[in-house]
Amino acid sequence: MVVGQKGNPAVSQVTQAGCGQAEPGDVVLEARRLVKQFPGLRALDGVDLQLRRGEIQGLVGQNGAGKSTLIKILTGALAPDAGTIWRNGRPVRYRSPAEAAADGIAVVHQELSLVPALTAAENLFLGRPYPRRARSPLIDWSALRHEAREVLARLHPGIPLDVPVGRLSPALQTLVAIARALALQASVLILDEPTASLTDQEVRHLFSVLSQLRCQGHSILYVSHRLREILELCDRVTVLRDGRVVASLPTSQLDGPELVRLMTGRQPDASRPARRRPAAGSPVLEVQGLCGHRLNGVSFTVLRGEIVGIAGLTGSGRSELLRLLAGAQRPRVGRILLDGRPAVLRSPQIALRLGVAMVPEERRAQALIPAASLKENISLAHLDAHALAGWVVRARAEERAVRSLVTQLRIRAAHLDQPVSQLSGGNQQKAVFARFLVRPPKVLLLDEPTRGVDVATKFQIYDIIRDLADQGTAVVMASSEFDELLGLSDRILVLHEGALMASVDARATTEEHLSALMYRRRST
Amino acid sequence: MTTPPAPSAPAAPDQTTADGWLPPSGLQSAALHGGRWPAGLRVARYGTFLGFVGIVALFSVLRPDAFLSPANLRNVLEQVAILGIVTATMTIVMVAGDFDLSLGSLASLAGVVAATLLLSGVPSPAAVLMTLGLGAAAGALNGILVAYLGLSAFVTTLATMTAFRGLALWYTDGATLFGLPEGFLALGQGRIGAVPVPVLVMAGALLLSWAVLTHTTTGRRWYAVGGNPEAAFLSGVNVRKMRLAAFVISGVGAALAGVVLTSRLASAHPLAGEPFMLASIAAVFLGMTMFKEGQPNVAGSTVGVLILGVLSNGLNILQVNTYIQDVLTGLIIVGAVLVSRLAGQRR
Repeated sequence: MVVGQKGNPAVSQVTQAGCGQAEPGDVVLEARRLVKQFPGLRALDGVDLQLRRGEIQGLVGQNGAGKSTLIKILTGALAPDAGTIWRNGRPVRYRSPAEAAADGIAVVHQELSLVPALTAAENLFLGRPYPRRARSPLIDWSALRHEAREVLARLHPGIPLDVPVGRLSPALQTLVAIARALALQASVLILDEPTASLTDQEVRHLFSVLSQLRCQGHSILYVSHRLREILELCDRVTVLRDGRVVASLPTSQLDGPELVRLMTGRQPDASRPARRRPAAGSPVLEVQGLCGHRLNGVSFTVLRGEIVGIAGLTGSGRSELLRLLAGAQRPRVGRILLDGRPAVLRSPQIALRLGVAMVPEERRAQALIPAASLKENISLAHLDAHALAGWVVRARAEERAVRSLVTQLRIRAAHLDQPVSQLSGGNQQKAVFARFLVRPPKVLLLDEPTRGVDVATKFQIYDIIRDLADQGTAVVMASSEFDELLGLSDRILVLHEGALMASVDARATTEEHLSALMYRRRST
Repeated sequence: MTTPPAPSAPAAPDQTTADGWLPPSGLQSAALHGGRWPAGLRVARYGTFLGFVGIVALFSVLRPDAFLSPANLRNVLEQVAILGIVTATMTIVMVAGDFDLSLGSLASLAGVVAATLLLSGVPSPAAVLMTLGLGAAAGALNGILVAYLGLSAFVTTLATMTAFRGLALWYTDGATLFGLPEGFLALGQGRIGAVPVPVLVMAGALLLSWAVLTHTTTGRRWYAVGGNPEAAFLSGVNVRKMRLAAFVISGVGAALAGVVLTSRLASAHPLAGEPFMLASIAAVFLGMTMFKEGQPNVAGSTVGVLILGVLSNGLNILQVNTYIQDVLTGLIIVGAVLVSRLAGQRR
């Protein structure tokens, strides 16, 4: 490869360092007593961290525990107020992520920092010079493709070089982002929630790639909310709570409940939500032969007070089904009945009026008005509920309604006029829930309701969902988390390539059975 | 509300009541009442306003006799009246996330149309109403192209700006229309008490758009659409309708400004409204530096209008070259936005 940077020892001495249970290598990246103070918040309070060669280290903690701040400091995006960073035994001070990258430290972010319109090959060369034809300013495309193919093949043979990465699946995009870090000769990879939008099988593949990188002497700091993945993949786990390291232990000494206890400081009762008694109300939502772009003739019924889970791989039509039911997209064919009467859901406005609300999948892109206050975000969907003649907002009534929801859902904010963008992910998600509870909906559609939310908030959200169902709301919940589907649903519908494959009783099924149904007829 | 039999969450210490969704913890609800902006942010919010006060103070010190006289202050208000009207509605369009480059030439066209109607004997009130109707139609044209046909606001209003200007020039052949009836001139030149009528119209327009933006569901929806159209859509806001409505209103605002301007000048020139478009965008941007996470807002826009007005008035009194005045205005706009940006980053 024609990379100008200094060769780095971790990559050249490949193959010997720690595979699996081998003894840990030298410390390649270390944080000593890092402190970072934000107005009103001590984000990091004396954090120590050691990352060794050939190690995958998990970094966990609830939202607000200081993970993001730590990553930003390690990669030069933020300067610490106190404390030092050591790289291969030497103290360093990165003034920007570019400097950290030049020193072999790369981050693959939750929101991937790829340019969607460029191809995988072009993305690999962002941030470093494209190969040139001899003595000319023109790009040597064949050399570029050749190099790109070499790097990408290390991770996945199926990554197309010439397709804009925006059109690749989230899983392949993650791999391209990792490939880019590798192409930059990074020996330390920091992965921030890399599996947030991956299916189970894609997660498998990513893990085998990461294990392989570990064998080649790379060090990986793996940040995730998904504790099971942490326990499966990592050699060591470091737990942050309120800006301090509360534990840094070999994975063999940890299990799920213990991790939750360390993260929250409390004793967990169970790793999944408790079941409720099955619902037996009248049908609220009936779907008959619904077709969209992907969805192909789906029919089912949801009873009053029932929680129906939707399982399926990315692209199975999960999200589209919810969008169709929420009026955000028009069906090609098919009928939707509410309380036995045909309903034409032309827009979310009409759906809401008929009592159908949706908490969408992407909080930041689809749900929040970031510059608006917590109050304005919550009252958006039902503004007329506290407006004179549906037009003049009655400030007092609005504030009262919002405050009672904020209290009910335990949303933590300095005050109601705080911009919602300043809240933590979990509180933001609860604010989105609150928006649709100003008038409790007849049908509540949930798309990945706990994505990117810390453990404690997760369980609060489960309680919210269960309480709503107990009050008679019919809940349809798409999720890629098995614990959530199995623990919360009464019934689970399995979608596969746009068709309804099965409807199973959540109490009588297992994770294995569910994933077998999801992958049916898939060759890979 | 009942709690399910076995709450499975890692139970929070204060989650002990049987009342379902968790009682308020005293601390939290106290915080909800007494919340305030952090001190650093407050300075950033008022920086532009302080700048305005500074400019006024500077001119007051340099030329106390000329600048601070009641006659001159009234003069300033009269000079900014037209800009204020245009800015009131430009703020709304910008709140909804778009902007309208056609405002200035639409104001000119409206003036020409109003003058033509008056000269052909249509009574003043009817002529004014018809002109406002034309403004609404022109705004609707912009709105339909942008909100329903999906063109970018920039391209659309750039095109209609050119077309409106062309229409006005073609109709008048570049000439100025004179000889408007006395009754009509009261709108731009009359006074109620000591206050010039255009100033009252400006105050009305600003007050109305402030009230609508801050106290009605319509205003809230405009802010939501401007903040995140997809989220607004999924929350039941009719995004297209809201964007269309904003353009219609800005069309009416431009027509109103054109009518008042024509009355004030007692004549209609096909390019008379041109300078107001850029100035009103500048005023809204100045105002955005003052409040609310950098969103457009009427109070801020008003200060923006006053800054531009005071600046031009004061520099005139100091007999600064008019071309240099433009340079200074540009520098001050960049300076204000820069200061608020730097202050914002320190958070």
